Amino acid sequence: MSKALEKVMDAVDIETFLVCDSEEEAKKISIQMMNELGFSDASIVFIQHLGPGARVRVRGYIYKPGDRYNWFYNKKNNS
Amino acid sequence: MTSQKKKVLLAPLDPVHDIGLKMIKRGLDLAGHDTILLPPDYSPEEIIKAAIDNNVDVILISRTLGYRVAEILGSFIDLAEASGLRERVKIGIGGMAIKPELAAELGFDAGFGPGTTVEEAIAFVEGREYIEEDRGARKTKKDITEKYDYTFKNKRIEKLLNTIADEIIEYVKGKTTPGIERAKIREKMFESDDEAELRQLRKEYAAFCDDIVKAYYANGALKEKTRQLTSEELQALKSYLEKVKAKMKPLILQHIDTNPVVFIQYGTGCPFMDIAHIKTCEAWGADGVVHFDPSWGARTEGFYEGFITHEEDGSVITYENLKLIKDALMPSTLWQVRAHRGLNTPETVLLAGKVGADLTKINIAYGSLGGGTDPERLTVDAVAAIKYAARFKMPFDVVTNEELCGVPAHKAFAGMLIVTMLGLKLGARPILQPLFCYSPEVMISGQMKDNYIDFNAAKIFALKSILNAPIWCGAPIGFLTQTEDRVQSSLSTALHASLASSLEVDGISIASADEAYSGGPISAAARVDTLRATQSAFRFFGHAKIIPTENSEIWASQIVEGIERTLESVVKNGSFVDALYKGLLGSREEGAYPGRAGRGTVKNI
Amino acid sequence: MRIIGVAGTAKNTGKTTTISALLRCVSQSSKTKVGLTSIGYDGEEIDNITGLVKPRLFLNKGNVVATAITLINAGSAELKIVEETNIFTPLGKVIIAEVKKDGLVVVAGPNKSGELKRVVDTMIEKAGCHMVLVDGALNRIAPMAVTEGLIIATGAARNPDVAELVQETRHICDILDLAEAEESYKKIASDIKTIAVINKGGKIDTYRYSALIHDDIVAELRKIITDDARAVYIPAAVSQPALEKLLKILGARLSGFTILLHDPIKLLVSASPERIVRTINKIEALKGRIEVLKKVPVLAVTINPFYPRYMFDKNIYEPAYVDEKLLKEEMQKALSLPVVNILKDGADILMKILGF
Repeated sequence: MSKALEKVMDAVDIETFLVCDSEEEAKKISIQMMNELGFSDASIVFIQHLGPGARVRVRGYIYKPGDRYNWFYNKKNNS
Repeated sequence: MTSQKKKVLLAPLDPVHDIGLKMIKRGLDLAGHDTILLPPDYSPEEIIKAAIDNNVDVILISRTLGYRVAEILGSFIDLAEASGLRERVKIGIGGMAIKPELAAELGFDAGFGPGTTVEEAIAFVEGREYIEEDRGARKTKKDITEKYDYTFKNKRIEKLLNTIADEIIEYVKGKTTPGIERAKIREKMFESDDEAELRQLRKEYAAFCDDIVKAYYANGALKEKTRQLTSEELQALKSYLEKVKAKMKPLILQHIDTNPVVFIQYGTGCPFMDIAHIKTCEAWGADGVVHFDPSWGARTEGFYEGFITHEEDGSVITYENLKLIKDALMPSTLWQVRAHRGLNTPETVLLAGKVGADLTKINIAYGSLGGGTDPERLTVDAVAAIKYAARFKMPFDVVTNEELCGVPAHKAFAGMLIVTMLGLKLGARPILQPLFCYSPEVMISGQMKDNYIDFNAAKIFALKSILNAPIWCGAPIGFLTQTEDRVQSSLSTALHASLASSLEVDGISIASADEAYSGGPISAAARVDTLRATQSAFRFFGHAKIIPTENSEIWASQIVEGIERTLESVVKNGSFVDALYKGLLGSREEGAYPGRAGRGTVKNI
Repeated sequence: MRIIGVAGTAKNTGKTTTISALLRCVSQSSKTKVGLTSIGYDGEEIDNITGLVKPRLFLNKGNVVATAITLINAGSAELKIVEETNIFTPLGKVIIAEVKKDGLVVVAGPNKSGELKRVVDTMIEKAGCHMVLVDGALNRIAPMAVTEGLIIATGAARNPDVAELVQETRHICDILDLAEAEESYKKIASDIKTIAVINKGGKIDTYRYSALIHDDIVAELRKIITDDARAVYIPAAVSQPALEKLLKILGARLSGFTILLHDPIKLLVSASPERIVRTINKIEALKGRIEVLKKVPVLAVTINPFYPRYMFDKNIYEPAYVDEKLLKEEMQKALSLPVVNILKDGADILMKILGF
C-alpha cells in the first residue's frame, strides 16, 4: 500500500461517468477500473445507467472496522 | 470603538472589484475607521501615491492570483518599500489563493485567504493580534428538555395516559428479571473495591447471564468476532486522541437559534473507528452522537467487561468501552447510549449514567413490538431503567421505530406517549422521537404521494397539540428517501433537516450519505457530506419557513384521534402488557410482532 | 563584510543553492558563527510526489536563524529561542534562535528594510554572529538596501536566451554600481526626508513627497525647480517614467545638474533594468549626473544554466539547460565581477570574496 493511501480513514470513492451501453457493462468497467487502480476490495456504491452511459460511485475500502489502521498507529504518518 | 481610528486604503490590484474587499470596507466602516476604496485597475504607482496623499495607516490590496501575479505583487511591495511607505503603513493582501506562507514570501504584513473573517482584517487594521475564536469553547452542551414543562394541552389523552401509566407501575410491583438483578449486582460492583467481594459479585452476575457471557466470567472467553484490545492499541488511541483534540476547531451547523441540535449515530464495531468517526463528525459540527450496540447484544443476557472490539456492526457495550468513547468526546458533545430494545435495558442505563452519558433511549412499545424483546420482560425492565435515568438525570427519548415495521403513526405515538407518561411519573425527562421519514405506513396509504412535507409536519403538529415536550426527529431523518448517490442522499437529509427546523423541533438524527448503501461500512467522507449539506440548508432557510399544505392539519387531527382511540382500547383492555401481546399498539397485520427474547423470565419476588 | 544578501532574479535561478553552499562552507570553519534570515519565506518547497512540505536549508549547531515563531518546529533542526522581537510577519512574530542540533530550517524573517536592519543588528550584537546571510524572495530586492554586499543569483530560468540574460544582468549590475555622490551632497542630503531641490548657494527647497513615482508629483516638482537649481535629491523610490518626465522638464538645464538618489535599489524597483539603463544613458549623454548616497556593492553573480522548459505539445514542464560554458563566458565577458556556477565551481570563490 502506498503511503498516501495509508492516510485514508476508511475508504476511497471514485465518482465518474462511464460511457457504456448498459448497467451490467458499467458494473464490469467499474470493478475493472478499481482493480486497475490497485483497489482489491472494491464495491459499487451507486450506479445509474441512462442513455449515453452510467453515473457511478465505486468504493475501495482501505480499512474496514477492526483492521489495523496505519493512520492510527504510525506516529510519523500522523504528524 | 476600542482602538484608535485608522485610515485605510482599499485597492483592488485587479481589473475588477473584489467582493471580499467591499465586505472588509463595510466592516471597517462599521468599526468606525475611515476607508477609501480605490477604483479597480489602478497602477501600483497610483495606489502608492493615493496612500501618500491620504496619509493612510493601512493598505489592503486584493488580487486574484493569475499569470505572473506573484511577481506583480512582489514589485508592488518593493515599490512601496522604496517609496518609504512601509515604515509607517501596514500592507495586507487578500485573494483566493493567498496563504500566510505566500504573503510572507511576497513581503506583505498579512495575508487573507479564503475563509478570512472580516473581524480578522479589522484586527489587522487595529494592530491587534487576531485571536481566532475558539469555536470549541463557544460550543456548549444543550439540554433539549430544558424549556419544556410537559403540561398536557389535550386533557383527554392526559387522563387516558395517567390510567395506563398507573396500571404499569402497579403491574411491575413485586416483579423482577435477570436484567434488573444484573443491574443491581453491577451497582454493587461499582461500590466495591474489595477483590474477594468483586470475585463473588462476578459469580453472582454470571448466574444471570446467557452461556456466551457466562463463558467470559468463567474463563475469559469471548464470542467469535470479538476480542479484547491490546495495551499497545489503547496507547495508540491515547496518542491519536491527544493529537486530534489539540486540533479541534469544530464548525457550527446552526445558523439561527431555533435550528435543532444535530445527532449522528456511530457503531462500526471497533471503538477506534467509532472514535475516529466521532471526532470527524464533531469537527464538521455534529452536536451529539448516538451509540449503536450490536443486535446480538440486545438479545443476550448480560454484558462482557473490558475493552472489546467487534468485527460486525454495532459497538459492544461494556463500562470500559463506553468510558473510552466518553473520554474521546468534546465537552460540548451530547452523548446518547441506547437502551431501548433489549435484555440489558436497566444495566445499559446504569452504565451510561455511571460513565456520564447525557441521554438514553427507552421505549417499551417499540422494543417489544419491533425490537424482539418480550413485552412483559421489557415492561418490567423499562420501569427499572427509567428509574435509573431519573436518578442520573439523563433524559431519554422514546423512539417510534415500530413505524418502520409498518405500524401506523397514531398507534406508535400512543405507545410513545404511554412511555412518556411513565417517565414523567417516575421523575425522568422524556423526549418524543417520532420517525421523520418515508415510513411504510405512508407508502401504503399514500400520504406522501405528493410530497414528503405534509405527513411529517402532521406528526409534529399532532404531538405539539397534545403536550409541551421536547421533540427529536428520528432516526435518521429522511430514512428510505435516500439512495446510494451521495448528492441525492445528502440533499434529502438536508431537506428533512430544514423541514424539522421549520417545524421548530429540538433535535434531529441524521444519516451519512452512505445510509442507503448496504455493501460495507459507512465511510468518514459520507458523514462529512450530510453534515455539510445540513449546515448549508440551515444557512439557506434561516428564519424562513416551509409551508405545508392543508393536508398536514387534516392528518394531524386524524393522528390525534387515532392516538385517543388506541389509548382508549388499551385502557379498556385493562393491562398494558396484555395490550402489547394483543396488538392494540401495533398488530401482526401491521408488521408488529411481540418479541420472544426474555419470555418467561419475569419473576415475582 | 558582515551582512550579505542573496537576491534571485526569478525562481529556480539558484538562490537556495548559493545560500546552501555558503552555509556549508562557513560551517566547515568552526570559528565562524553564521546567521540566516529571509525577507520572504524560504527553506521549504512542496514535494510534488508526496505533497509534503520539505525544508531545504541546513544549519549546523551553534549557528543562528531569525524566523517566524510558527516555523521553529517546521524543520528538523532543534532551535532554542535567544530573542523574541516585536516584529510580525504573516506567519507570526520573528524570533532569533540558536541551532542546538544540526538540521533543516524553514525561514521567514523580517520583510522590510527597517525591521531587517534591527533583526540583523541583534543577530550580530546579541547573538554574536560574525556574518548574516539574508535570503531574498522572488524578485523582491528593496529590503536588500540594508545589506553590505549583494550576491545576485540569475540563470536560464529568468531568461533562456543567453544574450538577453547577460545583457539584463549587466544592466542590473550597472544600476547597482551608480556612482556615489560627492561628500558635500551626502552631507546636505543626509538630513532630508523628502524630495529636495538643492540650489546654487546651498539654498534648499523641500517638497511634500519623498518618492518620485507619478507624473503629478513631477509636475508639481517643476514649480520649485528654478534656474538656480543644481541638484534634486529623491530619498525614496524613483520610477523610470517619472524620471523621464523630469528630464523633459529640466531640458537643457540637465547639463551639469545632479539627480541624487538614496541608493540604487530605489531606482531598480521601478521598471525593467533595460529601460532604466536607457534613461541613465540619456542623462549622461545630456551631461547630467545620476548618483547615490549609498552603494549596494554587488560581490558576485551566480549563474544557473537550468530552466524548466514548457512543452506545448505535452502541456508539461521538463528540465532543460542552456550551454553552461557559453553562459559563463558571455557573462564573465560582460561583467567585471566574479561569475560562479555554484554547482560546478563550488562556493570557494565566494568565500574568498567574503574574506574567509
